Amino acid sequence: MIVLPTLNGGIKLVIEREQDWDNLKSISDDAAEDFSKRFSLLMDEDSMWDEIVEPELKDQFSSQVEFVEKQVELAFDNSVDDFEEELPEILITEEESKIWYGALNQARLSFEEKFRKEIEDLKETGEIENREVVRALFRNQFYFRFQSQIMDHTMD
Amino acid sequence: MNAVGAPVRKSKSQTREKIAEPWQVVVLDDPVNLMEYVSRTLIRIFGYSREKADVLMMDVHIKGKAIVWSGGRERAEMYVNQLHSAQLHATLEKTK
Repeated sequence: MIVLPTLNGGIKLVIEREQDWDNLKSISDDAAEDFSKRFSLLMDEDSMWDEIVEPELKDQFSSQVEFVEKQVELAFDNSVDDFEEELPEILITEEESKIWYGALNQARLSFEEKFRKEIEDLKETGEIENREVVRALFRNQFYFRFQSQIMDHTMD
Repeated sequence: MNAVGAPVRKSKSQTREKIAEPWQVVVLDDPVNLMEYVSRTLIRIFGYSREKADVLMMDVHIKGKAIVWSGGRERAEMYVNQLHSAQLHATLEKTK
């Protein structure tokens, strides 16, 4: 996937192969976990964070994921099957790039939480045996690179 | 003068003092957020210079946490809310 800056301050995703679609579609699955409680746990009871702020964060985080899921679905449905004929594109405005960044962050938070032990093992041994973890690791790298490119081109 | 055994209620001025006690907004390290993103978020929320934001970001990265703001509780909670909204791990601590 190529990420290019647009004249209006946003970005354009150019989908080069099927794997890019798979990775983009995986964002919403990987980011499905609710992280709003994680932030409430950082606060004391006096703040009533779980009652006041947590529901707002939950809505905000889930709407980021839903937005990205819909934008990917729409672009996929409108794309031409044959990659040689025309490379599919997704246009993301500067404002939307923040939403994408948030959804990608949730996907990466989820990965860290789910595979913490496997990541530690990988650091020690340099090996991973579980195929699911390997696939998740590649997706996580994709998300990381994508986030870095969003940072490079937008969000100033 | 309170009668012996009667419940002691905090006066309004005592409550106001509690709210006015200085609080610290603390950003905690996490394995996900990009360093550049942390710096930019501190600039956006607190209006810090790039230099100050980078120093605080490096404190978070190296020491595991950094005090990014001090002041009244109400405003501190507003900042923590904004940091959580940006998915940065942050909390409130009473200034010692």
